[in-house]
Amino acid sequence: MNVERDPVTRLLAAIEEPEPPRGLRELALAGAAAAGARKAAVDAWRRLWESRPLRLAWAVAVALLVAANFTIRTGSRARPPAVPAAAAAQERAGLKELQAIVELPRIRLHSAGIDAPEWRTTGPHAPEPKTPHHDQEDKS
Amino acid sequence: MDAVAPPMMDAAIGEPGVACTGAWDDASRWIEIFGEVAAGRTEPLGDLYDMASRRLYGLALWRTGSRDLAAEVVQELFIRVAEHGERLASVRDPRWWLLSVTHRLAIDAVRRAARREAEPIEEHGELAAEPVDHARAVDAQRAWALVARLSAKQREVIYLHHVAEMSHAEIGRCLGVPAFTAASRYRLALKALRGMLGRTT
Repeated sequence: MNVERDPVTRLLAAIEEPEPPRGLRELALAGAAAAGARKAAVDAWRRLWESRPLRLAWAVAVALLVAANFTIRTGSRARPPAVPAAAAAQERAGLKELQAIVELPRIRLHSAGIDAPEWRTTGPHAPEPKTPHHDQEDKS
Repeated sequence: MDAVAPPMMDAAIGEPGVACTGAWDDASRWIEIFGEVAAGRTEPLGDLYDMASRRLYGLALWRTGSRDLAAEVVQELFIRVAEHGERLASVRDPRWWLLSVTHRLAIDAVRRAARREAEPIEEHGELAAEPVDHARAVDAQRAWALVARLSAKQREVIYLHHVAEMSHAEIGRCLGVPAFTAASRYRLALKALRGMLGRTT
């Protein structure tokens, strides 16, 4: 487009950049200096954080904490629990009692039980073994 | 409209650090300045102001339509530069970074300003510098009278394209919009200007 023919572009071409007002330079640079000073104060913490020795110390502390936590957890699992052992001992004692009850004592050592082969052959007419209870009943 | 002193006279009075717009295109110098500021040195900020103030102030002025807001934007921009510190070293193109931040700060300034509507920008005859040439001055005066009636987004694109001489791709990159969007805003702005110019002639 020919600038000279187009009245709009011709007019726009006459426009130049405006001049900033007086004193703006000092104000702008003073504001920048103040902002830079504020940033330096805030960045002290950031500079500490960006210190390699400090970062390393922090990492070591975190690693130690994690290791300690892991050690405590695994150490507690390796120890056998006290309550289950006592319960097992009590159970075993109870089983012995039960076994003693179940295992009926034989009154006559030479008398065979109903599961003896001799009983099977002779049949149910074999004399019943005398128990202390039977003796007592006869007396009464 | 109040008469505005030609910029050359203002510079002759003794304004330190006259802006060197020619240095705007020196990419290596920008990288060097940002590197020095990132390293913690504050002296290069003066050079940064000298190289960029006119363009950044102009963008802020055209976006906000207020000299006070534009000055606040420039001050806030330099505060942001100082706060960025070492992160400035990672900025690939400092010029676009400055323009982009200026753009965002200008938007924020407009939002914060409650009295912008009470001061129409036509009353601010300083949207552009007073050209030395009389004919050119007349054209400039007519131009900003028309430009003042555009929306802020359209004014911004007109400024970046015609005054800052940026391409649509560069404008899009600066404003954070696709190049097509920047080009579209520019076309609409020109169309609006032509319409206004046609009605006035």
